[in-house]
Amino acid sequence: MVLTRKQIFIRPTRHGLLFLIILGAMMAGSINYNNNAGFILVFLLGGMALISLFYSLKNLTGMDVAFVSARPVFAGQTNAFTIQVQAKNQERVAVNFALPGQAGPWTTIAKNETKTLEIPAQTAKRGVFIPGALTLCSVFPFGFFRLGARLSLHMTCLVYPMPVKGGAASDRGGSGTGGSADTRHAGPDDFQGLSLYQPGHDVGRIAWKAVSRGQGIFIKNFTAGADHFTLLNFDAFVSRDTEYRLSRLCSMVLAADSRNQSFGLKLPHTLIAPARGQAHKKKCLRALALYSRKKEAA
Amino acid sequence: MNRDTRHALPIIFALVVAIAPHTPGLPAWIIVWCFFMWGYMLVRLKTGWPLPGAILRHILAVAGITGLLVTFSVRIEADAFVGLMAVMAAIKPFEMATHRHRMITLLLTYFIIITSLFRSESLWIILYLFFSVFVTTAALIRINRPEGRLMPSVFLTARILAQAIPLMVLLFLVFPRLQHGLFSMETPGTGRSGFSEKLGFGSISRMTLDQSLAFRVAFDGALPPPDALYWRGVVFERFDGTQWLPTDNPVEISSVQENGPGLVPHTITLEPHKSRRLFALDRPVAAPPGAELTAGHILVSRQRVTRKKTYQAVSRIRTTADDNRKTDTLSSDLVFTQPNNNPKARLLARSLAEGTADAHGKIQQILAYFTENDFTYTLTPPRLGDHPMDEFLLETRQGYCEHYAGALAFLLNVQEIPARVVGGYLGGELNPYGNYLSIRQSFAHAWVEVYTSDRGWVRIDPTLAVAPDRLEQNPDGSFSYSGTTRDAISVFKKMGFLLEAVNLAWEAWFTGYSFSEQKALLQRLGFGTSWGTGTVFFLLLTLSVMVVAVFFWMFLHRSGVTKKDPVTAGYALFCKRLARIGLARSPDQGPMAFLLTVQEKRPDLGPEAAAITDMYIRIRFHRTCPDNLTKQFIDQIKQFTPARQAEQ
Repeated sequence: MVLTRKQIFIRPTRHGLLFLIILGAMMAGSINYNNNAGFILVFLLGGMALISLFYSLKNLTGMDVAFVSARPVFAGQTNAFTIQVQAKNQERVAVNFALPGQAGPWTTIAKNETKTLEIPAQTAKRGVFIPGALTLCSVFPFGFFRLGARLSLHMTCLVYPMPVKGGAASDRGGSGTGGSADTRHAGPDDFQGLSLYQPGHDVGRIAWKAVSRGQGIFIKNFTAGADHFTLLNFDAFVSRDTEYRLSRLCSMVLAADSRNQSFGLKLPHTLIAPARGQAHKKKCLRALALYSRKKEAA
Repeated sequence: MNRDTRHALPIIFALVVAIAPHTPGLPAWIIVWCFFMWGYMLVRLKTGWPLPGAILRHILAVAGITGLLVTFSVRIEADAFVGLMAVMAAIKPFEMATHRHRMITLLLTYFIIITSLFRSESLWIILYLFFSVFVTTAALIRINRPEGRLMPSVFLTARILAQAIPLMVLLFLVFPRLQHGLFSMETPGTGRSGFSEKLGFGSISRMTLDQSLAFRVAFDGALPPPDALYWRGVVFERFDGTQWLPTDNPVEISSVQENGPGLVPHTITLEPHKSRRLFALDRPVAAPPGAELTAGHILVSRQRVTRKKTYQAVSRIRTTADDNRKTDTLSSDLVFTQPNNNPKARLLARSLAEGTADAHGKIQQILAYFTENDFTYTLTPPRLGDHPMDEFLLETRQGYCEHYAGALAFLLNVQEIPARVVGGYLGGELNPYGNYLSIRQSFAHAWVEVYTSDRGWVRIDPTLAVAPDRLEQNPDGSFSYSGTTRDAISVFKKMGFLLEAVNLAWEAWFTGYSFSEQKALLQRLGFGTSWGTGTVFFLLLTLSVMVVAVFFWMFLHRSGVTKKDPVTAGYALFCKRLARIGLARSPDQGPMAFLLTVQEKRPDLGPEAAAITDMYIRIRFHRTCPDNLTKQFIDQIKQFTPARQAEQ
């Protein structure tokens, strides 16, 4: 999104107001004593402040700001929206990029340079996080005026529920039907042997020992079968608190994934078939994040 | 270079530049104080010595203010104010850790700059002002640039400064000036004491070492001859036994409207000297505006001359008996001196008067007494005691102009011839580039005027009897203007003259530019003043402010696309035509929703409106749209003239 003059607002800063007061005092003195040199200084400083405004405008206009991506985070974590800023035809000095209510980075971008910036934002609850308009501002060159613009870049970010670990008792509720009766079932499955690495295989299963011996890249095979999975069930919890149950499920998804376990997820109106891997984990977390928030997200 | 250094260096430099013009007026300890504090800041950038803590900073502030109170007691005057600024500016760099403090320090620096302008308005000070503003602004930009490169800040400052100058000139010329100040406060200007109110022995010779300027004079026509360059300032009519005193209550006399030959109009630019006295060529016949001509042909300003003042004076340099008889009067309170002092001098006066009856003869006798008795002209005469006339005339016989003038007037008064001492300046240094004379404090002089019933007051300069070359040579050894030509002076002197001439030309215009000059300028530009000048000024100012504001607003809100976009204009026309027949588009309706409304209310217009809307949407939102579609769209809208009533 290219910044135009129309989008830019101008406000005096506190220092600008102080400068105005000083200028007023100088003016009063010059008028009272009919001091022409005083007039010269007052008009020079006033003129410079006015002209600096044009440089401030030039510093911002024509800059191209685009939203790139935002990695999903868990609720309560600080999220970073990645944006790309192109300086285009001139240097952009000391520009601040921030989201409402958050502090953001100050940056200077050289002429024709493109910079990728991460704008932090604190998330509070799960769902689709819409941080509001990106505010960029600058007080360059004198610090007397704050020029800024609010850009609606339609930035969104997925926020997963905050993972909450629970005791064994509550885990009972999480267990469901399936090959395993108990989600506390001990660790990974039995080791079967090695097979040749193919692109797309899970990096976590690479047999590093074999790599270090120089035998090539192999992955470890486990007897993880379709017959051995866990179904994480929303309705199986004792607690009736939706957010708590989602947080517990989130924690369990992460735990199951770290054990490379096959797991499925059952939410009201939604069933995700047991599977494993990165994509499956994300699908499950996404379902948890958006549970009953579908409408808001749309 | 770390962050502290990058910020501290430019700010300290800006402070030094701003304070520098004040150094002549500041007490030495403040200068040492400033150098010490700033020096410490600079040294610690290299060595990493600690900054003084909050307690030490407060102690320093209290110490500085105490020092000021001791130096200036409790007098509130310009120097004390500048001193306060300097003391504070010296310790301000200790607390520049935050951006806010740095900003405030630089704003304070701007304020220090303006205080230096109340000292002088010379061209050099104005040029220095630009330099000072430049340095401070570069520092300001520098601290607002987090990565802090210096050179781009300097270039940007130069650009902004250069672009602000036309605006500054315009505002300077049109900004309405008041005839009188706002609060009628005393100007915090500085000035020399110049002539004292009393003429004692030694009061003028003290001034001979002072090379500073008293005033400058430009002549409309040719320069008067050197022997006419007597600058009249003050008349002393009473002798109290040790010194001459001016008349107590000077009476205003009306300016005589004279014309004819012998009148010399001239323009004087007087340096401030804290009294109301104005100088003019001997003898002024008319008072400039804001001043009056008092008995004794002395010009007195209505206000004290605390700022440089430029005025026009008209003088008659060759007075004839006729002129004087018409205007001169012998003031009734002219008191002949009491006979209880200087008894030996009184005896001498009577003995010198013997044998001659007329005043002229008596004067010649006294002057002959000076020339025949080894009187010497010296700047460093011996000190005189309680009866100074006795000692000077009979013992020491060494003196300066005030001795000879005072003695001559005294002797004549004893002989009951009305005589008075006139104080002022004699001579002038010609600046060959500017065709004007500079009169320095060291040119101070005193002479005598004698009253005779047939000739009025006539000037007698007894110093010339003792030192005839005083006319050609100024007391400091420099030659009066008749003795100099352009070739005879050294290159440096020439350079000095040239710079001085430039500065004077500047000051004559710049310092004098005020209410009346502005009025004249605006009148020349064709702004008549039939409603009174104030109205015109404020109308002009309001108008210019409005014009600037409108331009500025247009600049800020100029949108690159929408104004000239034919498609938007076309669609707006389409909506306008429909609105005319009662189908206004409400702001929340998009083109599609509007089309539905049109189709519902006026089915006859449906197909046409649908075609236009379709084209509009295609132009706006389709990725591929034929180039000629815009033209077709506009044409169709132009042909679209909906009838008020649906066709039956």
